Amino acid sequence: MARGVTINTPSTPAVERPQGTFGHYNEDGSRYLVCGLVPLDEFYSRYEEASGLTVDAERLDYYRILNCYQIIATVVGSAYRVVRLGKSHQDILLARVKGMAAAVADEMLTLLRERI
Amino acid sequence: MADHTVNTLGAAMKALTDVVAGAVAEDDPLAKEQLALVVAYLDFVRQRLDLRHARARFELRNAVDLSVVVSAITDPGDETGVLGQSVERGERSLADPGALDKELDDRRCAVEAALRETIRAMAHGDPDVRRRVERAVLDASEPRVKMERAWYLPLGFDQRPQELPPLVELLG
Repeated sequence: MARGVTINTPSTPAVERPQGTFGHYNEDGSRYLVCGLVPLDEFYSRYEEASGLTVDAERLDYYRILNCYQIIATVVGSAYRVVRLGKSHQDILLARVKGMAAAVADEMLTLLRERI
Repeated sequence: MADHTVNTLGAAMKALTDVVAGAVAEDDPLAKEQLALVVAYLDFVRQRLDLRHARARFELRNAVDLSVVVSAITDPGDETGVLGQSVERGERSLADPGALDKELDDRRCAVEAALRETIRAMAHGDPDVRRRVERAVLDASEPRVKMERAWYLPLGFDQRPQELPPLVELLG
């Protein structure tokens, strides 16, 4: 585990929880890669090395939950409104991102379950 | 006479891929991308059309069940309030095999609106009651989120499709 990364929880280690949409699993499906590049724990440790800052587990999870909420509000609410009003040249693309909401809601559910 | 919507959707997709696609200019990437998205969405609709009614029933059932639990926590015995009334109407629609999707959706919206008001009203209430309601919301969200993940699987956003049961099973 990298220096300062103390974000284990009694259940699933937070570092192993994938961010639902911004990345993918490796070839054999065993590890989630942030943006398809590096595993989450390595992402955090390299961030710490590069920035000299320590990853704060509590804050990180707070922003992960907030980020999930924001994505859901955007793809369920904002995208719908833009499409409904015909406001962009990409309406068909924006309509499609609704499909992202459930995957993100699943992640938010997991994060909230650990706290409520 | 049989309904041919699914068959016709297939014909629409075929027209777009076999005829229209060839007429789209090679140097118009936006048109090519949007054509592909339209075809993909028509295919998605074709796969989900038969399940639309089951989804409407599932969502209303889910909202009603959560409301009953929340109501029992926040105001046990009060079945005449806005939440209780919306639950009663929801149950009536669920019991009606002839209820149309629009009716089921409208009932669900009413139940969810009443539920939202109930939950908002207790924002500064007893922390213990609030915590129980929060847990109830999470419990009820689990089957609904799982169903939605399965519903949107064809769009390709889900990272763990292998963990989802078949959609028909989730819809009950």
